Amino acid sequence: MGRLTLLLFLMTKLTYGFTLNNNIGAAFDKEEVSINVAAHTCANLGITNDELLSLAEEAGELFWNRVHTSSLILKRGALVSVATAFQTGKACTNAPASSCDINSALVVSSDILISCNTEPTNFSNSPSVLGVTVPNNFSGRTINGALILVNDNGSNSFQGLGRQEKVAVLAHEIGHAVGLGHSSLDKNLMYFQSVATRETLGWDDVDGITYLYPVEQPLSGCGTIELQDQGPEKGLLTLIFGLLLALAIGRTWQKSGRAWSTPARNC
Amino acid sequence: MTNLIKKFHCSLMLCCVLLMPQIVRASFVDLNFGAGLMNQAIGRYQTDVSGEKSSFNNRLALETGLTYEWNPSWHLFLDLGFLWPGGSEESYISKQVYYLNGHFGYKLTDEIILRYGGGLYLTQISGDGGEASIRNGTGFTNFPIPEETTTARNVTFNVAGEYYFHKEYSTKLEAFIFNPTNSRNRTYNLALTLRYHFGDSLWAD
Repeated sequence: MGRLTLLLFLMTKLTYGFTLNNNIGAAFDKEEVSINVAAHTCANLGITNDELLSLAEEAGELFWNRVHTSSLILKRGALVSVATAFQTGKACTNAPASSCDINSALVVSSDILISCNTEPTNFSNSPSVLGVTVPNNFSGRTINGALILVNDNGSNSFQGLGRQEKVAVLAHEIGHAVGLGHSSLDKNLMYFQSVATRETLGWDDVDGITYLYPVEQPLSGCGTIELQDQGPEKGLLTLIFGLLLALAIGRTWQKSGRAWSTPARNC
Repeated sequence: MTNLIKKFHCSLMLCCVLLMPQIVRASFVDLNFGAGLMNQAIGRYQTDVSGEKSSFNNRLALETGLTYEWNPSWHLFLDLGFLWPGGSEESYISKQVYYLNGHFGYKLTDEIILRYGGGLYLTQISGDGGEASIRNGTGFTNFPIPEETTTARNVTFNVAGEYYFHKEYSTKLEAFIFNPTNSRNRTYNLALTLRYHFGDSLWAD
C-alpha cells in the first residue's frame, strides 16, 4: 500500500469582488445585444458618431466578447435618430441623488444606446466624469434597454483620451449597461476610474459577466439543432437519459457475452 | 461560426455517449488521486493595473480518477477534479470550479502515456448579498452584491501527457482548451498534478 502525498500547495491570492448596478440582478435575457449610437452631433467629443460607434464595437469585441465563461455577445448596432432629450436631458430626474428616478423621456426601447449629453448634473457637474449609464427599461429581472451618456460638455475629459482609453471607457460603461456595478480594485475594468493601461478585463469583471450571463455548453448549442422544443433543463435531462441508455447498452452487451473486442490485460 | 461551435459541442457530447459502452466494456485497473496547480486562462485577463496578465494565476487542483484498460495500448480515463477556492481580498463573492474529463490514452512507453479527450468545466459563482460602498465618480455609491448562485458550463478539449516516474506515482501535465473553434474567446488552462495510483498502473512489472 502506498502513501498518498499531496504536494504543491501553492496558491496565488485571487480577488472576487464584482458588484451589480441593480438590486434584483437584472440582465438582458438574450445572448446578442446591439450597441447603437444616437445620430445627433456631438459638439465636444472630438470624434464623429461613426467613430463613436466603431469605438463601442471595439469595446465589445476587445473586452466583453472575449470572456470564455460568458454567453454574452455584443454586436455593432447602427446610428439611430432619437429625441433631443437624449442630448440635453437628465438621465435621472432626481440626479445627483444616489438612487435614480428614471427620466421617462430617455427610456431606451431595446438593447444599448450611447448618446453624447450636455446636462452637467448627469456628470456630477464635473468634466472628469466621463460618462454615466442607466439601464432604464426593465421587465422584472430583464433589462430591455440601457442608456449610456457620454459627457459632451465643453471641458470634458473624454476628448483628450487616447483611442485605447476611449475604448476602455466605453467598455466600462457597457459593463454597467449589461448589469454590472463597480469593483473596488484598479486591476478591473469596472474600477471607478479610467486607467490608460487597460487592455483586457480583470477577474472581477470576468466573474461578474459570467454570473449574469453564464455560458451553457453544450446543451444550449445542441438545443437549436436537435432539441428545438426543449429548454436547457429538458436538454440536460436528455443528456442524462442518453448517458444512462448508453450505459445500459454497454452492460447488456457485456452480460450477453457479446464483445466488440477482447480486452487484454497489461502485465 | 456559431453553428460550427454548436456542431463541435454536439459532436463532443455524442462522442461521450458513444464512449460509455466502451468504458463498461473495458477493464477497471486503477483508482488514483492527485493534487497540483492549475493556471487559469493563461495570458488572458489583466491581473494588475499596469496591464500584466494572468501568467501565474495558479489555484490548487484536487483530482480523483479511474482508469480502464481497453487494450494493451489504449486506456480510458475518467477524472473528476475541483479547484480549491482562492483567497479573496473582497470576501463577498466566492467561486467554485469543478471539472469532469474523459480521455483516451495511448501508452507510448511503459512510463509515458499521451491522453486526449473532452470535459465539462463548471464555474459556480455566488455572493453574500447586501451592498458594498465603492467609489463612483466624485463620491461613493452602495452597489448591490449578488445573492444567488449561477453556474457556467464549458465544454473543453483536453490534451495531456502523463509520466510514471514510479510504479505508484505519476505526474500529469494537462491543457484545457476552451472554445477551440472560436478564436475570439479561445482560452487555455494548464494543470500540473502529482498523482498516486492505488491500482495497477501502466508501469510494467
